[in-house]
Amino acid sequence: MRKTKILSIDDEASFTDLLKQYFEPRNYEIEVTSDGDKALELLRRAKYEVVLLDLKMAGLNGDEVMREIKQLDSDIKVIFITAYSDSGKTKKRLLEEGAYAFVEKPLTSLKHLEDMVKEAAGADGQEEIPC
Amino acid sequence: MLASFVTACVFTSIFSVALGLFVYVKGPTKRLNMVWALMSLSIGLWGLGLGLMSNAGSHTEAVFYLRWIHYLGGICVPAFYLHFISVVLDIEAKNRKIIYSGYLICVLLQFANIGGELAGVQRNVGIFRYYTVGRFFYPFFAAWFFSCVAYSVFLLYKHFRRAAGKRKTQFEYMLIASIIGFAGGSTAFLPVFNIHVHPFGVYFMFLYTLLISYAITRYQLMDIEIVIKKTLVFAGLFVASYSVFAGFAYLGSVLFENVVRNRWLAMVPSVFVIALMLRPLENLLRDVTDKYLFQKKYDYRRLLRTFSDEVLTVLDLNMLVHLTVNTLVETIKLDNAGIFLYDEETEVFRTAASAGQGYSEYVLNGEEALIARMRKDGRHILLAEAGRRRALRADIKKKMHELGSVLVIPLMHRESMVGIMSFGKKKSDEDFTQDDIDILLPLARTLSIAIVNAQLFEKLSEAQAQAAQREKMAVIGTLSAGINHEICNPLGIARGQCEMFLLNLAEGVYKDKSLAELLEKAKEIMKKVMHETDRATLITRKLSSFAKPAKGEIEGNVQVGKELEKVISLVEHELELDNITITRDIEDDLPSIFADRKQIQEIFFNLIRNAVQSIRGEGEITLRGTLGVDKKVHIDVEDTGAGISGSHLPRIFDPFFTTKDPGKGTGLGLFIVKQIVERNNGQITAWSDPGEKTVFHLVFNAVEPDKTGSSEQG
Repeated sequence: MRKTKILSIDDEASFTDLLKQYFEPRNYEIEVTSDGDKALELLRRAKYEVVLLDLKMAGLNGDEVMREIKQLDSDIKVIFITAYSDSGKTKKRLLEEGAYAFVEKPLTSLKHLEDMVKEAAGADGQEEIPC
Repeated sequence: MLASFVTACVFTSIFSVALGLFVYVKGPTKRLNMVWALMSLSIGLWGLGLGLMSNAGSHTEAVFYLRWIHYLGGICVPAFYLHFISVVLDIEAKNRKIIYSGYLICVLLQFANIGGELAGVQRNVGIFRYYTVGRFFYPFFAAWFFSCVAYSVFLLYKHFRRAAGKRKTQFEYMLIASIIGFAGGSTAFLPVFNIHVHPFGVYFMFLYTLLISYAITRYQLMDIEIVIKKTLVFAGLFVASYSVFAGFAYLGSVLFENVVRNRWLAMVPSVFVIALMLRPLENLLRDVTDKYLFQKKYDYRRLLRTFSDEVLTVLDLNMLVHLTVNTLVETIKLDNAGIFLYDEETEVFRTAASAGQGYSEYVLNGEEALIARMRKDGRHILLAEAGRRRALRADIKKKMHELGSVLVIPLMHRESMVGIMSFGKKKSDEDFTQDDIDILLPLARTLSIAIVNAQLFEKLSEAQAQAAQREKMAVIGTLSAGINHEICNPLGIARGQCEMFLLNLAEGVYKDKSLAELLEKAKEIMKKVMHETDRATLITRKLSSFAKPAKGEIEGNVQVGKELEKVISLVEHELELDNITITRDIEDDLPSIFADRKQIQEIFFNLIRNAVQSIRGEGEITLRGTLGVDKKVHIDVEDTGAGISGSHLPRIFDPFFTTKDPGKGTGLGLFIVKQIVERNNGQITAWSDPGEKTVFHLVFNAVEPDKTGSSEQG
């Protein structure tokens, strides 16, 4: 069975560390980075199905990163991981711009995130908005 | 008996002339005052002539007094009286013909008098040595006298019935005074017509002057006020002096009738006694007149003046209006008073404050006739105004009755009416006088300004409160976002670690691991959980220490150099490891500052740590201390770190704002620094040249050299 490839772009090391530890034993290939340029570099080099993207990172804008990802490959599903206080307006706009889903941070359940990743990977171009 | 009659005549004469003169002096250009003075003068002549004639030494003397004093005055009295009443009643123009014919008759009668065809004298009439005997024209004179006076009194009575308020009261006094005066004076006619009744009325004639004087003092008769005080004092002194003299004369005549023949000897003790009592008596009389006739009034006027000076400074609208209303009620002694203020939203005038009986909640619609009228001309409305040209509209009257108000004054500011002052009637039942209004109108103007000021201030405070609330909400917003990030994230991760461990166990991820390996895994996760919970704890601790007010003690001998050294010693080792050099450039004679020593250390510690964190790789931190031209101590903490971009610079002192890598900064450091600096009466600013340097600039108040504390503390 082919492993689903995930890229996590987040500047919080303990969070990406958690994701890595969780997803790796569960038959996912997960790459983590806190650098937008490096992320694009990685995306150019290999095919990722799902990107877990932090909306707010120091010195990095989640919007722009998504736009560049979508330019690179519009099939890549971008799941935003956002602080719960982020406004609904931004969320709406980003969904219109092609974001796949939003997950609130702090995470309430890793299991839920995994389900969403599974769904995104299986959606195969069919853009569904589960939120 | 004769002596008392003569005395009464002379009294009447003196009082009358004195009153006439004072009234004239008070308004020499006014027709009313002039006519009154002429009438008083004629009454004076009449009285004096009567007194002198009745006690004359010879026939020639008596005839002289009769023609040139007694009737010279007497003939003029009715003509002047008619004229005076016409002026008082404001019907002079209408009555012009009658007045002129009066004067014409007066002149003709004077010819008759001088020609000896009016009256002559006869000896020993009753108790009098000489008294009038009528000649050919005498009946004409008497008839004219009575008809003229009766007509004038009738006119006065007619107007009295129609008048209202102060004017009615004035007329009332004038009417009574006229009746007393003329009824008294008329008794002097009796012996002339061979009716053998003593002219007792003459004794009471002087009462008319007292009555008029009283009305002048109390009810501003003829618009006069203060003048009467002097008359009263003068009259009192005169009466007292005369009484002393008369007393001694009487005593002398009774006790030493046979010894002392000349009653003028009574002058000797009288002069002594009068000389002794004159001054104290004058003072006493002045005090008494002041106290009973004027003081009360002047007191409240002074109070109102002081009040209007003070009122301007009150900025609390509610307090302002209540203070005003209460002061008005207390000082003027009103039944009630109220202030209505315009409510822009509902466009009505609403009770803002009221005192005394009556309304506490009242709404005056903008379309109300009362409001409309004042809006139109901006003038006050007095319910019973003297000399009003037009009667008040019935609906305005009704509204004022409803309010229990006899006077309403609009509170005008520029062109608009910001409110209304309503005055109930005075407890004394006195009417509002022109003088009252002259005081109340400026007070109203002052109050209008004060009200507008207070309203502006209220709006401003509201705006400020709203701004403060917004600020608070913004801080809460920032705080909650910060708390979410700084507390929820670590907790979320801690939870995730635990969840993962449990899921791994359940889903068999760990099935190949030995117990020891599993334990190792659990230990690793627990450490991570602890680390994350520690992170969350740290942030709450920082928040709570920030929320707690520092019990700082501001000292006057904090030396910036010394405190900096203490801080540097704490971080020096770390700086060396990080390849950061630290340069000190503190002026030797830099004055001490007023600050809390511990807090100053905290400020420097935070700023230096901040600088260290911003330096990546090698770098330099420079600490500068100088005495500015403003005589304040200026301190720079400069670093060669990454710098702060222009867009971030305005926000660096905001709570939870950070550009540092996660975990490295909470975003509270500079926020707290700013709070502490301000608590120590200092200022902090920052500027940055990204990539080159960043400077935090602090300013503190310097202690003047001579005040530098001698107790140097470590």
